[in-house]
Amino acid sequence: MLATPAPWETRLHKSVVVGQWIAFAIGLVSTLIIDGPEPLDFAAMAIAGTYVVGSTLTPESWYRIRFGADAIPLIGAIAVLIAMTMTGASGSPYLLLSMGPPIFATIYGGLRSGLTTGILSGALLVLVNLAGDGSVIEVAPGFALYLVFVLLVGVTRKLLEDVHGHARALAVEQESTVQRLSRLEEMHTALLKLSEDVSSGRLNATEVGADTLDSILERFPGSAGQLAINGDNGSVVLAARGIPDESGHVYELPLSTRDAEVGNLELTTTDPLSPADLAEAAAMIHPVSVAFANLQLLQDIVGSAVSEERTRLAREMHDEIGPSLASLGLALDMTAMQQVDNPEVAADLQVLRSNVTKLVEDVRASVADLRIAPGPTLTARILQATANLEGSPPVIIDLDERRPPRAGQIADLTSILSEAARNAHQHSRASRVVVSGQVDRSFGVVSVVDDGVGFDPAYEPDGHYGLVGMRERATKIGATIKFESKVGVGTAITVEWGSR
Amino acid sequence: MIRVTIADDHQLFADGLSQALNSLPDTRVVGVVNSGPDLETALDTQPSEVAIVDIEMPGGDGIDTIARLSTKTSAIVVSMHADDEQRKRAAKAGAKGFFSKGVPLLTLAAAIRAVAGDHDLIEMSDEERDEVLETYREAELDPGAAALTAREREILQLLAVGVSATDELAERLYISQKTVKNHLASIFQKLAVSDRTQAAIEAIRIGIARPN
Repeated sequence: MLATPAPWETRLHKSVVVGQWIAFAIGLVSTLIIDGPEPLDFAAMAIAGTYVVGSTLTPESWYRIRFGADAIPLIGAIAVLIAMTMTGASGSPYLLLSMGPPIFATIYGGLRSGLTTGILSGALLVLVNLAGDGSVIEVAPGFALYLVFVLLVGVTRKLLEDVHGHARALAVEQESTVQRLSRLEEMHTALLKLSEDVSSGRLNATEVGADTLDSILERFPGSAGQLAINGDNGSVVLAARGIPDESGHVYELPLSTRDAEVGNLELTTTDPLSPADLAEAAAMIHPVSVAFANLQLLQDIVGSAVSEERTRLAREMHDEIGPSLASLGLALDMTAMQQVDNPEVAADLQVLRSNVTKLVEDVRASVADLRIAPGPTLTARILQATANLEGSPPVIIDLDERRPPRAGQIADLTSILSEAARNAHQHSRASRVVVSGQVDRSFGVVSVVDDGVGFDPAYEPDGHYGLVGMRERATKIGATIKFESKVGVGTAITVEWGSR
Repeated sequence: MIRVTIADDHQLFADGLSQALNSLPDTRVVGVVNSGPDLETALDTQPSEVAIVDIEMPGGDGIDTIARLSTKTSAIVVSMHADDEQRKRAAKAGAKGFFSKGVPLLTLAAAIRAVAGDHDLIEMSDEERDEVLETYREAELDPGAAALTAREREILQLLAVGVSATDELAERLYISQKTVKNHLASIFQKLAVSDRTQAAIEAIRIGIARPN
């Protein structure tokens, strides 16, 4: 690929072209007016004129092709020397014009090309002069002129080249600064967005990830990407945008802080990214890395605080509230025993006693719950258990779960509900299966409803679809289970436990 | 009379339980301690047939203490940690019963009587345990107290409400003063007491007389 001519080269080129026309004009004037034309002069005039027109019309780019800076001036030099030979060799009116080729060679090929062309021109001039019975001395001024012009132009060229080089370096530097500023602005925007998220209470990993991914894809149009954060149970995709081009270029950029890798960005682009682009993308995700790391730290702190608080609560309930209630129960027992003559009072005390016993049991269960690290919610467990139910009908989990069921119940509830959802998915031929209801620790009512073929519960032999197993599990945890179904309408299985 | 030692670091509960068990005619709390090591020491100086032991106490786990008690006493665990895992540990350590602190007094009393009678409640199923406890629901009185006649119980009831003069007792019961004295002598012997006031107190304590 040919380099674009520098402005100074074009200007110099034009100046030399103009100079040649002037030299040619001087030659013409000298030949026609001062010396008086002879037939050979017209031929020389035509050759010199052809050279001047030719050099004017020769595109600059021709000088840039290989050997162009040497060959084109050499052809020009030969043409001018022929004209000079016809018009008195070293005394030719075209002597000034013969400076043109070495100057062109110097402009485009540097000092070396200029000197080569100049020396060759000088040598040819010597030969021509000697052939025309002249002496070498006569050629000396012309030869010296070649060298002086070549050196002058060479030095000028070097100077201009240096200036141009500095200007280009400055331009590159300026462009890089602009790019850096642009990146900083993008990062600033991303940070502002983060800051807004913090102010609006939306500081969660999903929001942060999605906003950052949007910014990155805006910067690299046509790309697709996904942002994942490393969690306790592996990598979790927080945001995904665009459809990755299968034949695209895939880049994986780690989201890391000084201490650890907190996630990664997978970016798929149609065109390959330059190292500078990758550095830019890495710079854009850096604030997110810090945000993710902070989120993880925050989660750890919150988790630790919650854990400490749970321990404190459990201890207080175990050491103080529980035994005090138990003691109250014993006092009620004693009082009731003394009320032999007041059966009504004794009965009331007995009811009170039962309530206290229930309270003690609740405290005991709560202490057990608090001492077990909080595990996944019922919603999360059902989602996990039904994750492999792909295709139609979709299983929709829509639970209003304020607090997960008690540790002693949650595993069986998960089994019952996911079994019901699985049955509906596999056998009901429904358009969808919905698991919905309310859950709040020791109370819950959850239904698995489908709009499928249904069955007649009166004729459905127990044991089919694991109904017996579901009943047994429900009984084991003190829950009730209700099967409602109508052929052609659908099925609803409802599990209920505890009371508000 | 079954002697009971309570090991529980919750003072209010230990005192309440102590008071409740002492109100029963056949159980007597002979010691209340608040740690496992103290329980071991207490049993050396004041033997008791049954120990009520909490799990979490200062100075060590109550179940570990039970494992060291060997045959000194029959231990019943009464704790806020009434879960299966702790029950298994307690059974392995040699405890004879295992209850939540919410246990009603009469159930606990029946359990105390049952383990004092060499029953191992902890290894039983719920149904079996309930059946055994049902047979121990009533207080077992001392042979002397059990041998009291109907007339002697009438006299004790009158003593309990403040009627203690021989002539008044004779008048109320339409019997002679000599007969009253004979009944009183028999009562003193059966209850192992030496005067009418002690007899009244003991009668109230073992539940065969009421003070009002």
